[in-house]
Amino acid sequence: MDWTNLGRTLFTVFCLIVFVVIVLGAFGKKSKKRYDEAANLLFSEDEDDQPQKPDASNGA
Amino acid sequence: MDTQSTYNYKVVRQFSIMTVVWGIVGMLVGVIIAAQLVWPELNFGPWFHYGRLRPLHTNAVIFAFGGSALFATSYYVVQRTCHVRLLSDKLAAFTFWGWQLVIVLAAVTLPLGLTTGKEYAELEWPIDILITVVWVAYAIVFFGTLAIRKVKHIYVANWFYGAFILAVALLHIVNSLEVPVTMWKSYSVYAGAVDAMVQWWYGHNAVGFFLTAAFLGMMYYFVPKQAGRPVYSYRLSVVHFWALIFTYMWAGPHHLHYTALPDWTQSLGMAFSLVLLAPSWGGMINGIMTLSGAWHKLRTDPVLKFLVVSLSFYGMSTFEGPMMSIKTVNALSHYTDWTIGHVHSGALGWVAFISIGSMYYLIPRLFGRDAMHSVKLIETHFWLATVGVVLYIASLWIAGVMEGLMWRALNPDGTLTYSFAEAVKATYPYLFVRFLGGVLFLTGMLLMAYNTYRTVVAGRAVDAKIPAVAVHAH
Repeated sequence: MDWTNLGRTLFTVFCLIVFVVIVLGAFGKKSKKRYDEAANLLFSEDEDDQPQKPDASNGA
Repeated sequence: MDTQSTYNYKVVRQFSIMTVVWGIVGMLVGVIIAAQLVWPELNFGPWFHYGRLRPLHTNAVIFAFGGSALFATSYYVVQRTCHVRLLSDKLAAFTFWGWQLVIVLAAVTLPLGLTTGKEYAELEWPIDILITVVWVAYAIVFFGTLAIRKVKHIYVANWFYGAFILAVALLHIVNSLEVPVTMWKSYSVYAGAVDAMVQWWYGHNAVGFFLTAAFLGMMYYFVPKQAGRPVYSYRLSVVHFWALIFTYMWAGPHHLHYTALPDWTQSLGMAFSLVLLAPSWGGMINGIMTLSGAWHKLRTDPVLKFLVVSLSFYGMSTFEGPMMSIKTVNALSHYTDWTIGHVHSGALGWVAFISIGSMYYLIPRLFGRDAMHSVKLIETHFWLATVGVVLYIASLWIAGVMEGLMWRALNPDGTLTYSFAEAVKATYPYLFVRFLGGVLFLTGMLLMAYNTYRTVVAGRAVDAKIPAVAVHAH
């Protein structure tokens, strides 16, 4: 039995599974709100920086 | 305590100015070597010879121009998205002066003919050690700043910058393992096909992590900011990131098709290169669609034009790349000028365009101005650069396909139809058009330098205040 080769095979399979889990997680319902906040993070900076800022929800 | 309430813009200013300076230097050397290919009489003496200036050009545009743009924007983005000042001003200043020293040493040693002979890793071992030290300091500043962040979520641009810093450290150290013989001469620890494979594992991932992932970090910050809209799909950006990270590392063997590299390794490299089309185009679509609902801004905003057109070129070159990695296509394209055209579609069209756009966004903000000195000049720069790139790519497509066809043409008796010199001669007009395209692109950079100079002298160095309220409160 070539253990090195088995290790390589298992690592490849492991990477694929991790990737699938990441994709499922990213498209899960729970992520939606968190991601929306993250995407709007850029526009919660100080105001003088962004002349045409969108409807950011922070009250500053 | 003043420095505790402001961002460190000083190091960003320094790197931004040097981005413009090294851009002009690197592209000027590029125009010179393009001219040398058209007029070989321009090869004066050993120091000014094509063979020594060519690595100077590639190192200057990738590591001096591109590198400075990445240091500047990563330091800016990580502070602003984490609402915290850089971990250490002193260490950040060290990365600036250290990186400039690396560039100056490269500009001296390469024309002297001191080289390891490894493409994009030509610098000799003492400079390699200096690069490693500066890079470790960079990693400490960047990741240290992430560690002390005031915002809970790490914005996606920082993931791309972080992957770039880690991957480049890994690539540089593994590919630069060498045995020093004298102060300025070393030999790689690898030999034969293994050496070639390590070199192109490095070379292609320099493209993947230095010239792609890091500039995507730039894209995920500056495109939404300039468009005034959040990124089209944040979840796509997460999938984009991991897909790119998992795939890029394995694409290197496509640089060694039909060589002594084992055949299965070549096919593996080809397969992964084809898979790369998916994350590349996912990222491009994510960037371009950020403008949906704000397309009208493209008409009046030349900075946005630079950013969006960079994504179009990114899409084009990441379609062309996988196609060229297919072994049968590569049999035609390899060793021809098509490859050079492809590289510049990415390097000028994608990397330079997004850097230029980001600099036009940054420079006024770093010097307390509302906008650059002249928006008209940005517009002119945009068109000069666009026409320059198109001339450059189109002429080398024609030259490359023609070379490939001429090299493989056979007479009915099996002898070669054309001598090598005949193919060289046939490329002459196309190499001239390539030179013209380069001149146009360089002219645009000179306009940028003038515009930057006027902006800086009329402004004053400002360090923006860090917002008092953390955003994850709601």
